[in-house]
Parts: sequence; structure tokens; C-alpha cells
Amino acid sequence: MLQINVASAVALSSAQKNKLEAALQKKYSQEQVVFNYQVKEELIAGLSVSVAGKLHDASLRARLNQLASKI
Amino acid sequence: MDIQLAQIIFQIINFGVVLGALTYFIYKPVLKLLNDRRERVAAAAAAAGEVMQDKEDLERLREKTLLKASQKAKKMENDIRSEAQAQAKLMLEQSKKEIAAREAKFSAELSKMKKEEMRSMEAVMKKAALTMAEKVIGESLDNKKHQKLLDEQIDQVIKSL
Repeated sequence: MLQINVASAVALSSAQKNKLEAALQKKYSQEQVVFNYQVKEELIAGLSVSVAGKLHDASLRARLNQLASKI
Repeated sequence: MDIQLAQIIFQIINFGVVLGALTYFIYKPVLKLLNDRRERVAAAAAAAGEVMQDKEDLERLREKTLLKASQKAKKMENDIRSEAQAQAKLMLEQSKKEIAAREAKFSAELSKMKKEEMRSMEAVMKKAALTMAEKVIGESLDNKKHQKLLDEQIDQVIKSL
């Protein structure tokens, strides 16, 4: 069973969830996929997706952190 | 006037006797006395010469001793001066090293403090910049913009899979 954690600054709409789930289920078609959704205001904006320990962080918080480390 | 030979002979004999007596009783003792006196004077002169020689020897010895003592004193003075100079040089070098070490330590501490101060200032500025950015962005995003951003990012995530 593969757990996919999705965190976003605001709640995702059903259309957005469906789009994301369809793409991820296609990618991991060999496994049983379970989605967990969380709202994290500290992300400021955007979302982050964690799949099997691999994090795809596209949130504004992550970009600000990148900017901070560059500064 | 008749010359009486016997009278002449008597006179000659008489003169000879007187001369012999004078020679025996006066001339020889006086001569002996003079010789003795000359010998005493010579002995005294010789003794005086020896004393003078001794005095000169002593004088030479005194001068030699004084010269030796003077040379020794001069050597001691030079040795002491050299040792004092060496000690002064050593102390000067030690002081220089100590000052250099203190300067290096102070410089290192100053540099460290500067770096820490810079890091602290950077952290403060970074935090302030991020806080401002968060505030500005957070306030400027409404729900519509959030959703639009989420749509874009979902596409990005799907592409990156």
C-alpha cells in the first residue's frame, strides 16, 4: 500500500483532487494508493506532495526558504 | 864650614827611623781605617742597591698585579655587559612575541565577533525579509488566486512525476 500525503495552504477542490489522484494512480498503477489530504496554512500558498518518502514541494513556503538560503 | 859625614849619616838614620815609626804607627792604621770604611760604604751601597732592586721588583709586581686586576675587571665588565645585552635582547624578543600573539588573538577574536555580528545581522534581515514577504503575499492572495496557483502547481507536480 502506497501512502501519498498532499498538503496545501487552502483546501483542494474536488476537481483538483480528482486530477491529482488520476495522475498518481496512473503513475503507481501497480500498487494500492491511499491519499491523505491536509491543510497547512504555514505553506502560505501552493501545495506539497509526498510519495514514498519523496517530497515534491511547490509551496510558497518552500520557495521562500530557498530564497532565504540563497540570501 | 865643614861637612861632617858622620853627622849626615846620623841624620839619615834618624830620618829613616822616624819614617819607619810613622809608617808603622800612623800610615798603616790610617790606611787600614780608610780601607775598612771604603768596604763598609761599598757594602752599604750594595745593600742599598739590593733594596732598590727589591723596590723596583715590587713596583713591577704591583704594576703587573694592577694591570692584571684591571684586565680582569674589564673582562668581567664586558662579560656582564654582554650578558645583560643578551638578556635584554631575549626579553625584547619575548615581549615582541607576546605582543604579536596577543595581537593575533585579538585580531582573531575581533574577526570572529565581526563574523558573528554579520551572521546575526543576516539572520535578522533574512527573517525580516521573509516575514514581510509572507505578510505581503498572504494578504494579496484571495481564494481565487489560491485555486489558480494550486491548479498550476498540480500540473507541475504531475509533469515532474
